[in-house]
Amino acid sequence: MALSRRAFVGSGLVGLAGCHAKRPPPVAPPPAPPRAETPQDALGRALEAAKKAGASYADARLVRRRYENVRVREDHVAGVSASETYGLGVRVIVDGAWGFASSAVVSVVAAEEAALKAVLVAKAAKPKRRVELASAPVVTGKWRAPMELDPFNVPLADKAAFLLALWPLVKDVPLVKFMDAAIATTDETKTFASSDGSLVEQVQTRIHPTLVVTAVEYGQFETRAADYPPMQAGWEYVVRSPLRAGARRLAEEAVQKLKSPSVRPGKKDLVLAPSNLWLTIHESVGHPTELDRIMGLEQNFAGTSFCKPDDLGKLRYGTEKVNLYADRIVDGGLATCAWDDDGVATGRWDLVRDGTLVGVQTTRDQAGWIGETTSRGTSYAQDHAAVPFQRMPNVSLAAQGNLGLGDLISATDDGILVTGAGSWSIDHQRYNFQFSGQTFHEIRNGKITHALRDVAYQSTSLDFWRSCDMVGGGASWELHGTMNDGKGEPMQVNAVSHGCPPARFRKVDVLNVNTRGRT
Amino acid sequence: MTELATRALAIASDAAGKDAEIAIDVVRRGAANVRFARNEPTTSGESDETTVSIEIALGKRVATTSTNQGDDASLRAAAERALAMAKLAPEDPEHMPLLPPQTYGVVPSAYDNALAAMGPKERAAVAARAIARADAANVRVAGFFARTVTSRVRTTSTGLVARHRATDASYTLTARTPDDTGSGWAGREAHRLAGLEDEELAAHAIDRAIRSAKPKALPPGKYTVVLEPQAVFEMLAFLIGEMNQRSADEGRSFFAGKVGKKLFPDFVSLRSDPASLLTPGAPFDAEGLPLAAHPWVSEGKIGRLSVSRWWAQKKGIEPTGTPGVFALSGGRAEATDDLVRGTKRGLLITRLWYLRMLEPQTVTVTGLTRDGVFLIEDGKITQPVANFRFNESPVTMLKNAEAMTRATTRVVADGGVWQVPALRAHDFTMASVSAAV
Repeated sequence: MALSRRAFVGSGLVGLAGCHAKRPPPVAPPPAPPRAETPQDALGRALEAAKKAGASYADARLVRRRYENVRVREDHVAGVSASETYGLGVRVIVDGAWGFASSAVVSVVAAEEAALKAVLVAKAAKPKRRVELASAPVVTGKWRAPMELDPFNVPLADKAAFLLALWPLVKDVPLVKFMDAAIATTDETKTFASSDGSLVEQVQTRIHPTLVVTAVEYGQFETRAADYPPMQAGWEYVVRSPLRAGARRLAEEAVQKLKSPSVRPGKKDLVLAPSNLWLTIHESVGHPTELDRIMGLEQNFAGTSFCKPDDLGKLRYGTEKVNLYADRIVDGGLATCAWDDDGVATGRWDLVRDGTLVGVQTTRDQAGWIGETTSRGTSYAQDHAAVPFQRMPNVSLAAQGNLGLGDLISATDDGILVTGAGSWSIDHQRYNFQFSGQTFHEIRNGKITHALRDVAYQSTSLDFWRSCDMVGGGASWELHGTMNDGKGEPMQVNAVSHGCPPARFRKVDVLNVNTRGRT
Repeated sequence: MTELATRALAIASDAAGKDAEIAIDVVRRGAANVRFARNEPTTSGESDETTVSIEIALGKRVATTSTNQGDDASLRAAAERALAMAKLAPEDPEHMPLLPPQTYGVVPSAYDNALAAMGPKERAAVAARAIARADAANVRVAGFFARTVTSRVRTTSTGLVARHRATDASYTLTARTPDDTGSGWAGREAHRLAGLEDEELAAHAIDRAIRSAKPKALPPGKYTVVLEPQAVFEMLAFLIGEMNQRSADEGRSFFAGKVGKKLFPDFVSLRSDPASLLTPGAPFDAEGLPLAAHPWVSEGKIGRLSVSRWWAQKKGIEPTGTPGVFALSGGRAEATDDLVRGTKRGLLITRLWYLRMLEPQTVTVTGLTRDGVFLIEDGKITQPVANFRFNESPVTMLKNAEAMTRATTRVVADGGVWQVPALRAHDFTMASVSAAV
């Protein structure tokens, strides 16, 4: 059964209750025609069928996802695409085991089939320990991320024109040869219903304009990617972006990289701009504090964590300057929503307080593992065909005092300023990491002297956060993030933001990654 | 499938008119999986999704939409959206007209009825067998078994029709010792249920975990390494990603000026051949271009890079299509044990993790070793070793290759079909030690 999105959203959430517009009765009433089946009927049937087949708990999600991408290369369009998926996912607990099945056909018949399939999958599982769900209040309501102009209503020609206007701004910079730019837009419209009685609907729209410039000289090349982050926002976010104003400078920085001296390796003080530090937070704090990783559930793929349940309240994660928190409520945050895919209301909580590990990320089936009675609300599934599991919320470093980036530079004698995200890699227990960046500048006696090339920094998560001695203030705090964080088997994609001010880290190993003369 | 593709083409043709070029791709993917961790099943699921992609080109204005709804109204809505998008899209000077009907070579079947028919109980049994072995050996095991049945049809307004179907099983598992000092992994992909050998894989992962317990940290530096097939694949995937003629011609690739040059030893050959029994694959790429055997590297010499249709036309050369099957071959060693026996001092490495491009100019990649590193001394494995971060290029790895095994394994490549041997290479750069187990 196909419904346009407009019809679906317009139908609201009253379908389960079977409420209809009133009409004056005809003079000679004919037999009542069978009313048209609604998507909400399918949700209701899925839950009903699952319970009848023996499920102690069931939830069903109706999810429509849209994706649109416009890409340009230099002065021409390189690709325009759009995709849409719609369907129903049913999750059940039978005999203490999870089962899941989905259907792209949304009808009461298909919903019942999916529910029965999920029950069969659960019955085959036979786990040793029964799934126990933490209690959660029954919730109802609607939510949508604040947005001024729905990007799906903006003509493609306008999007392409925005991107094509960038090439004239960069092409005259000597040595600049190539430009790739794109606008990726997604939205997800989801109705969640559970056998507990919860029924919520929410809409999330995310957008990411990107720009990469490449400079080439004498068989060598360097790229510079813009630091403008993806955000839960509308088209207004692109229009107000600094991409146009900053395009020429970006191109000049690509050339500057090409002509910069290669870094001398050694221990350096690092001043990390928010555009670089967010990704380090993601890898060294976001993933290690996922409780499913800590407990070994991700052992076969993404790995485990250096954090252990016993570390809560004890592990010295960083210096006292380090306060890290998780949330799903920050404005524009990619993981921000009102309820998670367990139907739990979202909020904010501390992960690291004054340098000590105090919290982790949980879902309803995990909270009890660490003696907590409620979930933190971090369950998420990428679409209707994917099973919900624990996914990263927004994880951020709290600002402190009122220092800005300039103050951190002024206070540094022998260091490197790193901006932007470059190559990144971290081991499967989240100890050893190596990050690069987009631009690197030497700091000598409190001043930037010149740009550098071939920089990567290598450390372990705890050594790194234990070397943090300066954290910027609120005015310098920025929200960055990624649309594509992968986890789980089969792998699912999650969008997540990380906010931070600039911060300083003492005596970190800096590598020279130049291998151009070697191979 | 064919009915759906034909119907979608008719609906799109009706919506877009006779001047439009239309390509329809229908992909049906039936996926079922069982996941386990901490010696018990965790999440399991099934999905069956059919995606219809509609590409409409009006001259050089082109757009693509896709939907997972197969009814007429949804197909019409998707076609109308593609048409509206194509009308609005600026011209893409690199857009190529759709291909006329093509003749495809006969490829061995990549479809196995037994695998396609596998139900929830049989899938759960794969997990149960691994868990029973792990319980008996007192190790903690986590794993993932996934079975996928994929059917694909491409049909176009120019009369091209291409069809392919395949089954795929992917099984990986990781075992850890109770003291958290040892970890072992095994994994394989197969298109036949009979080729999976899940018990053998489970036994291997458990054995690796036990033997890798309490590793010793060695200093970073350059080591001779014996890379097992999964590790070889992880490096090679980055090499293939860079083997593009256009990037080379534009001067932004390691391969600029390298075609025809001998970079690697004689025994290194890398081919893509969907007609090979070892790598059965679709005989056409996403555009419907026939895929012939492609020699990326022949006896150490760089053969052909990949060439898109547009670049081929611009340069007056033949397009290659985009292959999805790869085989590294030419080794003469009987088994991995022989590579170990021929090593004076080196490391045996099970697999690699979190690889990222570090320096595209030289295809230098960073990443970590994982799930079993062992010291080799005088041809024998003497002790487990702590994991390393490495910064190394697959180009250097192949340049420094000393030997490869004759037999190859189908590694876990998430969709691509890769047959890869174990390989020994000298001077592999380990940058630092990782405490991860």
